[in-house]
Amino acid sequence: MTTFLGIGLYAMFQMIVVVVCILLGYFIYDKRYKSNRETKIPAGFELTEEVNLDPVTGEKTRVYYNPNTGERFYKKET
Amino acid sequence: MLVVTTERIEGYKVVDVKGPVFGLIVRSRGLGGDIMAGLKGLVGGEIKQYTAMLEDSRKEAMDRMIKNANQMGANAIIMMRYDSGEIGNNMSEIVAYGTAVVVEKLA
Repeated sequence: MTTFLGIGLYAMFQMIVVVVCILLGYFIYDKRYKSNRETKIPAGFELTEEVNLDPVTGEKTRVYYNPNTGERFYKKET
Repeated sequence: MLVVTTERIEGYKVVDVKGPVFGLIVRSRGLGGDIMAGLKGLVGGEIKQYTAMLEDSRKEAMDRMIKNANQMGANAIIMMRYDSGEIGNNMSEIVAYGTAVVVEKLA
């Protein structure tokens, strides 16, 4: 009886760990790269001719470049 | 920052070679994405979870390479290439590399 209870608790613990991993991944870690991009172009960024079409969402994004920092900014286009 | 896959850039002259430059990223899908991809693998078709992962990896590798080239004082990258590999079961490594150079526009 005690053994069955132990196995049950262990299985439940494993399930909780898996569910927590899925929730953490979905809500916190497993996000698309720069998916929280702002629509306003930050100061110092210049327009480039580079355009990305996302193969999954079909979203079109234009790339802006900051020559001072070397950073790139992806702006969603409609 | 000009990034080209060719040796020369039309209309520009290479005046300084800064050296090799690269941007590296290792990414994985979360457990939820892996489970969904595994189920999709049973029936076939495009595994969008992994397509998205590789698309993002390439963007991030490119961004890192350009940032590195900028820090080296380059204004262009020639001979840019991507390379990829696997680490573990669900981790993907992407590297973008090329030669960081300084170019001047021809009159």
